[in-house]
Amino acid sequence: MKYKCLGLLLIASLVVFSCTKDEVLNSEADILSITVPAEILKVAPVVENNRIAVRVKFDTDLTQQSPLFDLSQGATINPKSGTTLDFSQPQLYTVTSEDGNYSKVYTVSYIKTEIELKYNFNNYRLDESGKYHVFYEKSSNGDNIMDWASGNSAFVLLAGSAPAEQYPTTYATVSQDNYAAKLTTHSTGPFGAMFGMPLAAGNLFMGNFDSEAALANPLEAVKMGVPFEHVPKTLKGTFKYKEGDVFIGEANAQGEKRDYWDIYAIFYDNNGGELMLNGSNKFTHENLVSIARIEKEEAVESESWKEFEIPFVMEAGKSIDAQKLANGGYNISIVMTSSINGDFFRGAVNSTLLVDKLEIICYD
Amino acid sequence: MNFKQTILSFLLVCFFVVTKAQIGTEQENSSFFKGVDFHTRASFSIGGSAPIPFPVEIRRIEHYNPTLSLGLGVGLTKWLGNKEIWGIRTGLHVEGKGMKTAAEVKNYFTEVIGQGGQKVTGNFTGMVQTNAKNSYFTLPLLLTYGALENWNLYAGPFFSVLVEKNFTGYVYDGYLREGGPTGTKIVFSGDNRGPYDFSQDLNLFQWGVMAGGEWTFRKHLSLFGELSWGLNNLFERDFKTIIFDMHPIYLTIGLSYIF
Repeated sequence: MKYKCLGLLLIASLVVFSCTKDEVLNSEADILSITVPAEILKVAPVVENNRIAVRVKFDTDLTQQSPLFDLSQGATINPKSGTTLDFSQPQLYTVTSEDGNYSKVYTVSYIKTEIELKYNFNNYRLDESGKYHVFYEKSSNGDNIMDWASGNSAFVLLAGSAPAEQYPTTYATVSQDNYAAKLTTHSTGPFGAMFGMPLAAGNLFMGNFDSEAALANPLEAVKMGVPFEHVPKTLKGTFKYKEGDVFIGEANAQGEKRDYWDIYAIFYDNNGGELMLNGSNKFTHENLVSIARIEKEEAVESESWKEFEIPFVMEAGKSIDAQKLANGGYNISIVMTSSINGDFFRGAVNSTLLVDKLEIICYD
Repeated sequence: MNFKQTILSFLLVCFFVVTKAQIGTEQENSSFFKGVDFHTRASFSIGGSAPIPFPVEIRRIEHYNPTLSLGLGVGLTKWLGNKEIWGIRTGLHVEGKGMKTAAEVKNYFTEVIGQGGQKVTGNFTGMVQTNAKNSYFTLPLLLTYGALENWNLYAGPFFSVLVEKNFTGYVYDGYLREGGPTGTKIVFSGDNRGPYDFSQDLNLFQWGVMAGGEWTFRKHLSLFGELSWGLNNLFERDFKTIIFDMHPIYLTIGLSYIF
């Protein structure tokens, strides 16, 4: 009998690691997807953590729209999914989690206005988390037409409590009420290195950054493109550039460990609004129609504002369908970065690019 | 002085003290050393640090490895009265307490950090790997019952000081919502891991209760088993990242030699 004592002790210790409790109610309050009539869409809606952009055709009646929402498990939404509302102005929806403890306000915008052709980077705001800056474009009547995308939302993971001004993509003051985009290449420290991402180049582009995919597949997280109803001829702008001192990563094809900035624009057939090019196929996809890219010889250092103008070069055998163009069947994206190979995590720490007064010159 | 040197010198000192005391008992037979048993012991421990009760955030323990946690110690038992039924036991143990676990969690508040000091807190849903490997100097204070033939039972509090600290791990196969359940989603998949290191947040002092029994199966030799239960939090009071208290609970089995 005495020998059973040890056994009893063992059992007592096992009882400690007893079963887990029943699952609790969900705390998430996400809109997972939005459904609107396919015939009004130019391109697929973009759903982010706090906002949804629905780009619609110019003849859409915005006053009578009833979008449907797919939500986190058990979550509820107000106004209800399917409610008919006037989307001449963005509408706010509040999603409440299943457990009732968390809620999130989404701004849902139906955007009919085309993007403008000039970009002065004078409009920026803090993102919803208050951590980094987002540039946006306004129409003449003050509506938000487009947010510029950047990798800032992935840098949150590396930045800790760094202020927005220290993120890779932020603003620079040119003169009073006149700002420029400021892109800086940052070292990401041992933590970034662990993910095989030793640096974060400042970048800014038209499209959206899929922060969910940022770690698993950084190239594909950069989704480039907004509908564009003109035929682009050249891309103009002004810049300042200072190359950083400490180069990280392998040398380039010419064997140099030098950093350059980069700007390019791609114009492509979006397959009826279904296709978004990304960092992995931006120069190689068969749907590309034309590409404008600065020559490396021009992407050099400059302490004063320097102008550039680069032509859109048609891909071999491509033509533009006027009807498709009018229906939003082509996307454009302007992409700029402080390190030309930043998407492969090569570049010089503190390389700094300032860009201002961008303009797309079009035919017609 | 590194940890191994510390242990070695600790054992040498202990051996010296015990031997000296042995000689002392033989030569002086003073009143205190009358009815005192000395022992040395070697043991291994299995167990882990766990929240009690288990919080709802932890859904499932997928994998648990107790790791090989060894312990060495010396002690003495002062038997009371002539019948030697009750005694008081104390000593000094150096002991490892470790575990490796992989747990599935849902909406689990944590902080993923880098050595550069960058960190992001948020609610994680997915898998969490935890590797704990800590060593303590422990002083037990035990009431010992010795009236059974070949058996002693003992129970009482213990007090430990942390000498080697390691509480690390990583999150994987899931997503972190930055700042809280409604924050931006950051997905960890494939080889992406979000490491964490809470080693510096461990409580340097640990106390709790322990109870056990020893069976003398041969002259001078006993087999013992004991359960120790930490009553204060494994982590410091101002450490808020793990929102529930963690308690080390270990079963120790070993051999002791009674002089």
